[in-house]
Amino acid sequence: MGLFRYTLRRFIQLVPVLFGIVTLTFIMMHALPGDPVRLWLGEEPGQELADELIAAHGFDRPMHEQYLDYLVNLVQGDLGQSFVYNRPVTDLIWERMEPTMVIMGLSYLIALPVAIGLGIYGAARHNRAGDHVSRLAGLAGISTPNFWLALMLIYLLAFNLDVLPASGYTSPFVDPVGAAPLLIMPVLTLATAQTALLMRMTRSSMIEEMREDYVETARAYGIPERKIMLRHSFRNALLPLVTIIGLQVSTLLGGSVIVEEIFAIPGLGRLFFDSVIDQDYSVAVGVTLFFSTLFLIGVVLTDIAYAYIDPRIKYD
Amino acid sequence: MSLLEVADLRTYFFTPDGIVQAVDGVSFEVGAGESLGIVGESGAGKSVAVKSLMGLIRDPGRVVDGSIRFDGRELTDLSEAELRREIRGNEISIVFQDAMSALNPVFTVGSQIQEIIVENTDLHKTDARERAIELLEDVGIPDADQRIDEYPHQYSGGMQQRAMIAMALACNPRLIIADEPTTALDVTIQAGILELFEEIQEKHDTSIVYVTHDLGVVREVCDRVAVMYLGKVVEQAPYEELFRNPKHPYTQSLLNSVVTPDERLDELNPIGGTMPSAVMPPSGCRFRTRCPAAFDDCLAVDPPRYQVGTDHDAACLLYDDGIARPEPTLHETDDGGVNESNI
Amino acid sequence: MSTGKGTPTADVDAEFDEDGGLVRTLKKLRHSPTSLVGLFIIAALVIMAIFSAIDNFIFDRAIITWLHADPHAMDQSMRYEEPSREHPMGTDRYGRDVFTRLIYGSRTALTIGILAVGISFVGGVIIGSVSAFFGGYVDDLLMRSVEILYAIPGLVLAIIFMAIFGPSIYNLFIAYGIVGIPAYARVMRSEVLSLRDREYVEAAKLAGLPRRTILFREIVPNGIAPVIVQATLSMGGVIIGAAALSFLGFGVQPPTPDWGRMLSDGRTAMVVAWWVAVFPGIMIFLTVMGFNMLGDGLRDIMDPKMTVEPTTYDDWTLDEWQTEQQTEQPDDDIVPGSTGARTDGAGELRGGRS
Repeated sequence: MGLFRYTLRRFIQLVPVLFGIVTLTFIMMHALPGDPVRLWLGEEPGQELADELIAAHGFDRPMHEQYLDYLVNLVQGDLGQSFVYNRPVTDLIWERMEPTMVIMGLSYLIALPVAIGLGIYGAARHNRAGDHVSRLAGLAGISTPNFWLALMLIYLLAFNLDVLPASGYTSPFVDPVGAAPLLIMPVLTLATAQTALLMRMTRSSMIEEMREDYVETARAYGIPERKIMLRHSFRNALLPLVTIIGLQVSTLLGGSVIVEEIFAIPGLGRLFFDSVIDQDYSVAVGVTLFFSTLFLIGVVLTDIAYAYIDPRIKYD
Repeated sequence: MSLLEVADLRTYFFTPDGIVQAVDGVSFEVGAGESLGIVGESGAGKSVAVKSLMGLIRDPGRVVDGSIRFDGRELTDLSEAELRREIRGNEISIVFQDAMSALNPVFTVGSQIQEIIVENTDLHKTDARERAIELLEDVGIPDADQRIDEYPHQYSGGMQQRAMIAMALACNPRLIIADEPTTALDVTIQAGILELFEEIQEKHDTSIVYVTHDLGVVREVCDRVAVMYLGKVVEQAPYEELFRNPKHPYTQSLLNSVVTPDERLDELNPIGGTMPSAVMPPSGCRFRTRCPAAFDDCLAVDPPRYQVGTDHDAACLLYDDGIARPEPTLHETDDGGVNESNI
Repeated sequence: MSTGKGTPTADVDAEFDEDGGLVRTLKKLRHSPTSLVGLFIIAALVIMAIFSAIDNFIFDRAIITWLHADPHAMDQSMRYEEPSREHPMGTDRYGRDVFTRLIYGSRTALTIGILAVGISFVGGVIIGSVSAFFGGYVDDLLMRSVEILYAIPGLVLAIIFMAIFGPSIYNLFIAYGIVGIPAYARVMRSEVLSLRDREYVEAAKLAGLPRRTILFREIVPNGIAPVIVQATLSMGGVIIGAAALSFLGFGVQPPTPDWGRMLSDGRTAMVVAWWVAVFPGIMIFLTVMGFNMLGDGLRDIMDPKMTVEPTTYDDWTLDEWQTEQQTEQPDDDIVPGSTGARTDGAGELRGGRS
């Protein structure tokens, strides 16, 4: 009950931000260079044909009317038409969503346990050798450019050792065995920096929590150190961690552009990249809007998880 | 034989700025069912001393010397695991000053008490829960069977402290350490908490060590008092004796400056000047830098504790027979003499 | 400070009085070898960048040509030469020396990093402080705008920006400057919120100072330390981001030597010439690592909770005492509007957050 209303309220609070994003994407759409009509019809369109097209898409109408149209269309789930594919942007996004979600999901699946494990290890060995090593590794992880990492993986695993295919994508839902080798490198590339960041966060918030008074209480009452760390401190350290997990949606979506480009994966990142190159801007802007929406949903889910973990936060 | 005998305890902190001699040669005893008050200003090393008893000193701190005998067992010889299994919680437990932060905010009060019971006894979860409700009832929490499932932030300050006490009682310890148990509470609630402690003491014959800078607490509940200054016990006596007949100049200044015993020492700065650093404490007697009665020998000799009455000792050279000095008259005498303290 | 607290040693006292917090902070860096290494890497890069700039603009690449090779000189007969004595990191598609191009690339990377961070810094500080100080509708409006910006993935926003304004090095740092603003604004806002109600601010208000003066002379300097840490830590991200844009073809355009661009060229030839892709990546990695190591150390020093030195032991905590001193100082001896007030503010800045 309380949780449901809280969720609803958080989603309603998103409306102004979403509205702002929509406005921004509308501005982007019109600021982006290139004449869509010419792009669509080729270099030498017949004047009549061009006029027809302009009228059909309302390019000749005043800005505020176009803006209103844009809003109305959005509410109806219409993100416009792709000039390159000659199909609705919404259809393209639905079609290309799977690979991006698969790679992102797997990246979370790998990053979370590894990061939390290493982070707790670092905190437990605070200021000792193990901590220093994991700390340096974490720094190295966030300092490695993902596009370079991807290239090095390809060079090493695909070219030199020839154990993995260099690029491509097969849906794991259709052919799990065939998909696995194709997924390894892209997921590793995305997960490295993510793991490093989460690990650093886990470590520092665990160290902070281990200094709280309730830890001393637990010690004074004979609770074993392991339980203090894994039960008492970790539960509290989860709070800042959850926030970061939510914010990472944005980083990973950005990373998907690079990873999908390098590994030739037909996902949303690739769709975005290609559409910018092809000046197919309704697609580029549509994907941008979609990414932002995903991010905002991630943030709300984070808040809900937060409220679930921390009893001090009231739902209403 | 006393339940707890601490002899020459030394706890140092090895910091980049030097060795902090937080507790430097402290001795005291607590009998079964007795209550001892350890008083002193902030920074006297009271908390460090009692945390040393349970082996709760963490890096960079260490108990470097001394003996802690509890019921005939030498605690300094025990390993961390032995301390955890056999001492902490089930023999000695501790009530902290700030219950709000001493309780874990993300677990219910009940589950925290339950965990301690399960960890230290043979009881299983459901039995432990029954026991936890009983305990909460015992410490005066209304609707204990309901409130057991609430979180610490849903309790009032006084109730949090009561929950903390329930936790301390969970495994029938023989010694409870109360580290500034009422400092964080409203005056109106303080009395109730102290009464609760007295009740517990009578009912279970528990020994209690109160660490406090509140002389009001001492007057209320302590049988005996040890006064600490800069890592050392400077005077020890039964409560009545100490208040009527303080011997150490520090104790005298403390009592003298306190208008009513309810005043807290830290708010008054009764002695004037500040406590020297425990990294480089003064030579000889540590109190000499602020002592109105200091003389030359104080510079060189670290005073041992002299017997100055029945069960009453004071660490001051004034009571060394070899050094002829008149009894100081700093404390208000019975005939209402004027005090000569420097404040 | 409160009368009951133990006084720290004389020498700690003296140290605190003699050198200001900045010196103290830097002295504390001794305890953190990682940040020293970071500082060393950054120093080496800055020297390389300054050298490249002077050499390029004043001597027209004469020095580097004399020293080693001309980073712009193409030689089709030397395409994809393996690393050798003559070309320690090999040559690229046009026969240019990779090593000297890497050195020249440091200028591009650092320029973009510093300018982008500068834009984010100034923008974030203004938005964050104004937002927190004035509150109400101003706060709502500014923070919602920042949230909007934050909701779009940085790389995506930067690519759109480059597509609108065209790929060039200037647009590159402006794009990343804007992308970075939200993070800075948030840090600054929370700092100002915590400082807004301090006594010295009240005093300045009572003294009738204009609000803008109070905000930018009294409050912002006190809360800026965490923003500086944020700057050091985000520098690495910006450099990676800018390189990513160049890698994707939206950033620095040839022939300007740029690590991201070099990587993107190397990508196509990786099978035959690994060196063209390996070395620029190592340079990016080292640079970013340097900034992250320094930022990490700085943050630990400035955040008393994370100090490399031990902190908590009963009421004897010297560290705690010092922090307390720093925070209390501005409150105690404040003279509104006087230089004294500002020096004290700076004192806290140097000492770090508490």
